[in-house]
Amino acid sequence: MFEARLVQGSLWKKLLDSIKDLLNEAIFDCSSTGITLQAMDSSHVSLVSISMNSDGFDTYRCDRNLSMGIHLPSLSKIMKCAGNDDIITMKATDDADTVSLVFESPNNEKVSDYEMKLIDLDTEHLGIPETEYSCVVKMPSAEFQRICRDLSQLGDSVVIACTKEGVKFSASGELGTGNIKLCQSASTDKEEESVVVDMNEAVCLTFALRYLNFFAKATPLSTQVQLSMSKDVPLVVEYKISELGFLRFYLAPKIEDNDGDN
Amino acid sequence: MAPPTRRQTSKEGSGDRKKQQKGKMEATVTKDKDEWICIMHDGLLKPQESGDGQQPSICKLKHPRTTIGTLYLISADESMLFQLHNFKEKYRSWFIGNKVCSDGSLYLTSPMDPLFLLLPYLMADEAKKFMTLDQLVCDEEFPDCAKLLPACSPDQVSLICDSKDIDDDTKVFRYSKEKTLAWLKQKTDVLADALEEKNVQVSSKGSHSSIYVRSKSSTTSRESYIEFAHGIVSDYLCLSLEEELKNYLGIRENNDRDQESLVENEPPSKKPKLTEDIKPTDDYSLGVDLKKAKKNTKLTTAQKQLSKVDKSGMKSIASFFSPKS
Repeated sequence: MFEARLVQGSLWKKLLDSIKDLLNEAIFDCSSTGITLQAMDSSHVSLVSISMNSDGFDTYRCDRNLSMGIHLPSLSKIMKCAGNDDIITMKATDDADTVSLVFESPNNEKVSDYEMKLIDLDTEHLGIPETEYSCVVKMPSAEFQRICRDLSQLGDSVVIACTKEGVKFSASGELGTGNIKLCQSASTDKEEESVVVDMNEAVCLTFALRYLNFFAKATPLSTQVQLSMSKDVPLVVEYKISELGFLRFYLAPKIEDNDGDN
Repeated sequence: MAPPTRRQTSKEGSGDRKKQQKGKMEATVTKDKDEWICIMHDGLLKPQESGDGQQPSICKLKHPRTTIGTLYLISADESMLFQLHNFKEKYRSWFIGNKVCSDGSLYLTSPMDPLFLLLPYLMADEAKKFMTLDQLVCDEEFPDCAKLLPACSPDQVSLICDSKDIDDDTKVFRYSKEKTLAWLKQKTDVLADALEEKNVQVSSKGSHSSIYVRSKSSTTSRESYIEFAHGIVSDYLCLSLEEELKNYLGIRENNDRDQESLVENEPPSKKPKLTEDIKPTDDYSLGVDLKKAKKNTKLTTAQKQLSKVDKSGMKSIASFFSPKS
């Protein structure tokens, strides 16, 4: 028996909105500690990792580990049926081939019950080690979204250069070039508006902007976004899901193949 | 259809020809029509050497098939017999000189073997006696039948009759079925040859456009041509003779042939029933991962956009992380 009740149901809605375009199908792994999801996009250059702790839910029960293969656009459609203030409860029996979703309106006047078919999926899990990154930038998520959107007008890829002073996003294309430089906030009065650069070593990496734009769809989840970068390893774009856990996007950098014989 | 004599029609302008025979034609056709277009055989138009002013004449004779009075054209020297065909279409007129002829019909002549017209008279002789031709061929209803006689030489008549010489001038004849059938068989064979040579479509099943080359060379059997030719010849024979000719030629009943030719000539219209299990030569279902195939279906527009991203220089994310064991 699996049952997870989340009073702040809108989190589910936002979460699914942010990944449904990147992923078509994914497995929700439910265990006693919480719900995790790991999946690659169809091109296998990016990876989505979600972790939701059981503590973050208002009620959480998982008797046996459960893997639910879910067609995400379908789940997103059902989640759209829930009101923003609704309490969302996800239920499944141990050997079920369906998952049921119960939406309760805040004043308990309306209870909607949806049942969705699960699909049979077979994916391999990647082990992602906890590593130290050369640069970790924390910035307002809306700002990141804006930067990605603006620069995608200019080119297909963005160069993120991280130095002590701050972080610089640059793009170039037929139109011309554009640079956006963010400096570390001097005063950190408001935590959600601050830009914090934690740097061990300067890094300069190139990424496909369109993917970043897709990641930025998770902006409603959190006011802050954290970008973690090291040379020649994937970028991590992390959004916190309130107290529940996190949503992480991994994106492989564009590596110029200019030494040829490599 | 043309009679089974060799056809030699030639196209000629209408102008003076028409006038040439105007006088005769007026006798048989309504008065207010005095001009027609007629395409005539060269033999009818030869200048008359005798100069006795004889002209081709139209005469009413008994049709060998229908026994109804039918108009035939006999050449001026009475040596040749022609069938007259009238081709008429609605809404057609001719321009003749500066006039419009409202009668848009077209007359055609085609030479015909006079023996076909003699046959009914010869066969009618029940006494089976040898008689002279003019004794055999006499008909009160169609007095013009006497005009047939000059067109038929004794040698020709001998093709369908037993003959005896009485004296130098007189020959007597008696109808011979055997000879007639042999003669008709030759006619049919010649006609069948012509059909084959001209590649006339004689298949009884379905119509075929002659302008399209059939990809599958249809092998129409000689039998079909013979049968078709027999049908044409029979248009000039009485019913009893038609049946006898059919037997003589060895043409089987249609039903038998149809079934056989269905097997022989036509591609089967339906799939043959398979008696044994037939397996596809290639099994495409092998090596297709249904799960993977499913994954690629129903991409949203956003996913399609994403798939268009230039991923050059980007390694697979799996290459950065080791699979969890």
